[in-house]
Amino acid sequence: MFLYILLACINQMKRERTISGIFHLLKGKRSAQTLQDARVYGIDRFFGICPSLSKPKLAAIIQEAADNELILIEKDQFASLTKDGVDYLATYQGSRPEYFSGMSDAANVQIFEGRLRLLVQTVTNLSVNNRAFLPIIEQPTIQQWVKQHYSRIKENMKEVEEQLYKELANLLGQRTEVEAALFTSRLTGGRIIGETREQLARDHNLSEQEVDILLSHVSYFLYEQCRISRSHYPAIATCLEGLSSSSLITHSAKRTYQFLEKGFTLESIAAIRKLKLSTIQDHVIEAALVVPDFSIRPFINEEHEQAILASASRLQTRRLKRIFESFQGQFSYFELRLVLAAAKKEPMSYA
Amino acid sequence: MRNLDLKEKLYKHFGYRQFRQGQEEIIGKILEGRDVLGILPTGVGKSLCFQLPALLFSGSTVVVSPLISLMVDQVKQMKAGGLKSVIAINSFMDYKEKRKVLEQLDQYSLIYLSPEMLQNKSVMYHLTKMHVDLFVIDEAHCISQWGHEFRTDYLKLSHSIKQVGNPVVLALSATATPEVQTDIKEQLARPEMDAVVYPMDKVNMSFAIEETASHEEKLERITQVLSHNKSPTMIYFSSRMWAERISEELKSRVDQRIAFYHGGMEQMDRLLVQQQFMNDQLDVICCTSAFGMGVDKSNIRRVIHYHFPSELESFIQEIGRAGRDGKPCASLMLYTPGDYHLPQMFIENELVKPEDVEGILHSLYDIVDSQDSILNDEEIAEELKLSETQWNFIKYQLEQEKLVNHHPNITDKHEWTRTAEKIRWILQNRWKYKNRKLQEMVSWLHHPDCKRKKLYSPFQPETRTPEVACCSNCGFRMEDMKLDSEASSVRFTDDWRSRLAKIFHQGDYHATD
Repeated sequence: MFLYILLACINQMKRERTISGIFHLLKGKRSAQTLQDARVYGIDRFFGICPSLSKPKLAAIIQEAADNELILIEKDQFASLTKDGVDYLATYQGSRPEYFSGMSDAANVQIFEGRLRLLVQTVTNLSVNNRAFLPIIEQPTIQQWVKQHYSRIKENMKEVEEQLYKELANLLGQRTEVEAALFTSRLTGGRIIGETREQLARDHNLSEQEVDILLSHVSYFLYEQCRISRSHYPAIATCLEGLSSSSLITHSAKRTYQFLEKGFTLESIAAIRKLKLSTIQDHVIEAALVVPDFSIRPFINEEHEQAILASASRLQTRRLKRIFESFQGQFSYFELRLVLAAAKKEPMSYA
Repeated sequence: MRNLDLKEKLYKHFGYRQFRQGQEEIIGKILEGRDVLGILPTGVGKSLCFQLPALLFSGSTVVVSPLISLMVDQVKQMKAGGLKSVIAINSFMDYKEKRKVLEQLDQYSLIYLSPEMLQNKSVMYHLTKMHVDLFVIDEAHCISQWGHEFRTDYLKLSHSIKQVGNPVVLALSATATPEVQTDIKEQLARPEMDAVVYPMDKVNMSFAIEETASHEEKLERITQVLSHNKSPTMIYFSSRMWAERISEELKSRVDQRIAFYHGGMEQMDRLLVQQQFMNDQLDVICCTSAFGMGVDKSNIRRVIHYHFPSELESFIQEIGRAGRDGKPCASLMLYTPGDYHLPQMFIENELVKPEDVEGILHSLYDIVDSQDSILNDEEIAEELKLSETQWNFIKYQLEQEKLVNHHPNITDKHEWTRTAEKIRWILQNRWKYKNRKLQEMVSWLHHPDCKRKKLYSPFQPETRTPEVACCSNCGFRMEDMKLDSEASSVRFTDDWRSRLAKIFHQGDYHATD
């Protein structure tokens, strides 16, 4: 699945972004550039789905794909698909990455997964009165949530345990055998400590990166299913508690957005917040990317917007530099980025 | 407090009926208000010496510990044991969390801090506002230039102790030579401290030292030893790369559960390996010195050194993790002549070469002079091509000379030249010292008589008669090791449905077992 996603990203980016752009996307770098790329190339659902990816690891996988002649890497690190690469996507038989929704949910899924793991460990230990276990999740906010939740369920531990089991067995049964097996073996609870990715990779004869992406996919699947039908999976769905489906990714961008809504100009927001104007502009781009119905009208009129979009489609590119040059400097980079960010997502095609 | 009452508290809070060696004596002195330097071997429950008093005092107990992982583990264990008013303040805490904790700092009876955190102004501000009864320095040998893990931050502790109102001081270490003990007292400005020193020789451990011709031979020897019988075993390596590599090799040669552990792993995988080992799901762990601190597994039977450490002190600490249950255990040290350069490399990574000092200060002067922006420590270290430890050392020395006050101060170039001379002199001494320690380690490897007596001789006048075979020079072979029964790790090989059922204690998994 990892290779499939990698090739899909390369395909969508049409040789306009380097490998490092893909790295930031999968890793989930919260920069305006990465967010915007994710959006304009229609691969925002893969944003942040591999938080533990490392550069050398990705480089090795890319090298392997190049050696197998699935992709072509130019000197400047721009990648494109070969004919074999295109065929690979078209004839892919493995399990499909159907459930990722990284851009909107990456942060929530990470919390959801942490809560679920710690909840399972807590319930399955306390149900047999074992209080001396070391939590497998260390984030204080997640520990705090589980602690609070525990005080609500401690009277009927046995029931909660059984319910969690039933829901997980049911949901995992809807995944492929290998995804279900990986998720279960990674789980810590009762007398069993979960396995590392390295161990899982060895036991299942997969690469560590493949293990990672499949585990991530199961988490997105569980998250999605619980969100759609909370009442079917009440025990797991408690882990969704307080996770808003909202939008703005960075805290700082959120504050800028609040000033914008009150009608402040970009310059005055920069002055008030003691930030560079370019930073504030990045926040606006971020908002245009993720806030539904965000209006870019205060920054650019409709006629100009259409002109920019027309140029982008005529040039068949999302590269700002080429669009910028086509207008001979009539529009700033900020204006170009903003228009592209707000533009409707293109439907994603893999072949 | 009468002894009887103390025992009652011990049982109530920790679930033990009896104190272990040294604990009662140290706790008694602390409660009388005396400063104590406690030298207790690893694995006898040093931390109880302050955890119990902390519960009895009305104010708070501050514990300075050099290792975040160690602190966090202790806090987790205490919380797991039901003691709630414990906190570890570390740099991983986010801003909000930290502020919340600081605002109610006096509510905690036990506060763990890193030495760096103690230098933090807002932390110190809150500490001065409250009542501190006891100030504990864990791993106190770090305060001594002659200790094996010298940390410049530890030198500032005596000042911090004054700031929090001169509470009772407890300094603890497992490995401190008499030389280091004197230094600890001096650095803390408490020459009158009561020293409570217990022998550290492990009477339930046998020692084997074997020279091999090559790495291949080491690997074969380890394969033999592991295959001889299954038993919880740790294998120490000098680097992450080696730990991973040999663990791979062993997996293909020995039919046991084997994993590696080092500081470069992802957080959750690290926790999983550690807990698998504690939970007897692993037989063998291939690790660097990052593993072990705070790992309280009582049935480790063998500690194998694939590489020898640079000092006897580190070695003693690492073998101290075996046989905490008091049952027989063994240490196997393997070395090839080619290993000698490894500890030398560590020393180089830790200490700047004396002849390089002048050049480094020169570059530093230029960097600071030419840049209008302020660089952080990491950036400076990178610019100067120094390791973190190397830069910390230089920075500390410059601070002592008032040439650096958070940022380097560029007023007097002449001063810098004079200082370079001084630092060079200090470094020469450190190098000599480190090399002497390394020499001590190497000469122990070659020592022709009893290895046990030689190993402990710098720390204590006599060694006790061991309860097990003594050492390879007294006729012990690894194959002679007596193990009660084959302790084997648990393996879970079921399909995912039965594994899931097992995790959740659902009854129907026996069918597929």
